[in-house]
Amino acid sequence: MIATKSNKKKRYSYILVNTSVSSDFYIHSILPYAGIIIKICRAYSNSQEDFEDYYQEVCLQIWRSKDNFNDSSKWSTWIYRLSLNVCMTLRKKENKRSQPILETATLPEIANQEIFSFQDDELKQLYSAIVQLSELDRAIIILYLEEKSYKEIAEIIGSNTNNVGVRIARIKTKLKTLISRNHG
Amino acid sequence: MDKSIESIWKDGFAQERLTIPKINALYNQKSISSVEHVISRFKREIFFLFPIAVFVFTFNIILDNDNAIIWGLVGALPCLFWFLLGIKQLKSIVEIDYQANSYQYLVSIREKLDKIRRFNKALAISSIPITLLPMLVYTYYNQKGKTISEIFGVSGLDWPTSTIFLIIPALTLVAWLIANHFFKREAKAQDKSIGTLIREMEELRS
Repeated sequence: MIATKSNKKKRYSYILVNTSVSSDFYIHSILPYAGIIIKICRAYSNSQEDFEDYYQEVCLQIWRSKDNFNDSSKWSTWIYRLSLNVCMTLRKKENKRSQPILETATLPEIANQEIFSFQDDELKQLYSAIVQLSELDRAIIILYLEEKSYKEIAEIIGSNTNNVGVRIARIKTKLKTLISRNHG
Repeated sequence: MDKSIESIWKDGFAQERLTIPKINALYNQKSISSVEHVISRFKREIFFLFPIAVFVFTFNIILDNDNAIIWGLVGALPCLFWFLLGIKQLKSIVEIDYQANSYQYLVSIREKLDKIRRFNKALAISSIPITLLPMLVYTYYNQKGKTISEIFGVSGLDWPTSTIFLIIPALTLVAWLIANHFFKREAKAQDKSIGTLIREMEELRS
C-alpha cells in the first residue's frame, strides 16, 4: 500500500532539476572567491560527494542571503563568514547523524582516510592535520593560510585580534605536532 | 618536514588544480527531503489514529456499560474510517508521477495536499451533523416528553426534548473551530517545507 524504500529511490532517481544560482551573480560575485570556498568546504566535508553538496549549499546560501549584505564589512569577509557558518552547520548535522560511527573511530583514523587526492604530499599531510582540529580552529587556520589579516579573521569569526593571534600560534604548534605524529 | 605550514599551503595549492563543482543537484536533494518529510508527517498522523480507535473501544469495554461492545465499535469506527481514508490518501500522494522536473513534481504534491486538506476539513465538519442527526432523531422519538435534564441525567436543564437538536449547531461549530485550527497548522507546516522550496525555485527561474 505504501511505497517501499527501493520504490522511492527508483522514483527519485529521475528527478531533473533545471534551476541554478543565476549565472551572472555566480560569475561576478562568487567565482572570484571560489578558491577559498573550496578550501573551506574541503576542510569540513568527509567525502567528494559531501564536498560538492557543501559547495552548492554555500553558493546557494550566498545567493539567497545576498540582500542581507550591508556595507559594514567587505563582500569577501561576508562570503567567508557565511561559508564557514554553512559548513559548520552542515558538519554539525552530519555529526549528529553519524555520531555512533564517529564514537568508535579515532580522529587520526578518520583523518588518514584518502578523502581528497592532493598531488602534493606535504599538502595532503597538512590537510589531514587540519581536519583533526576543532571546527573553529579549522576556520581560523584556513583564513590565516589564505593570508587574511588578523583583523579580518577576527571580524569573520566574531573575535578580537589578540585572541586570533594567540589562537593561531597555538594552532600552528598543534598542526606541527599532528603532522609529525601522522608522518611518524 | 622543514617547510613552514604557510609554504606548504602556498606551494601545494599553486600546483593543485581546484575543480569547482557544478551547481545542479541541490534542489533535487531538497525536493526529495521535503516530500519525504511531508509524507512521513502524514504517515505519523494516520497511524496515530489506529491506537486511538483501539483505546476508544477498550475504554468502552472497561466502562462496562450496557452494549459496551456496540458503543465501543460506534466510538472506534470514525477513527478507523479516518485511518483507512488516510491510507488511501497517502497512497495517492506517493503515487504521484514526476513530470519534467522536481519543480513540477512539488507543485503536483502541493496541489494534491491542498485538495486532500480541503476534503478532510469539509468531511470533518459535515460528519458532525450527519452522524448526530439520526442519533438525535432516535433519541427524540424515544424520550418524547422528557426534559434535557431527564434524558442526560443532569440537573438544571429543564428544557423541552426538541432542544436536543441544538447540539447539532453547537458541536458543528466546535468541530469547525477545531478543524480550522488543525488544518491551518497543517497548511503552515506544508508551506514551510514544500511552499518555501517552490517559491525559491520560482525566484531562481525568474
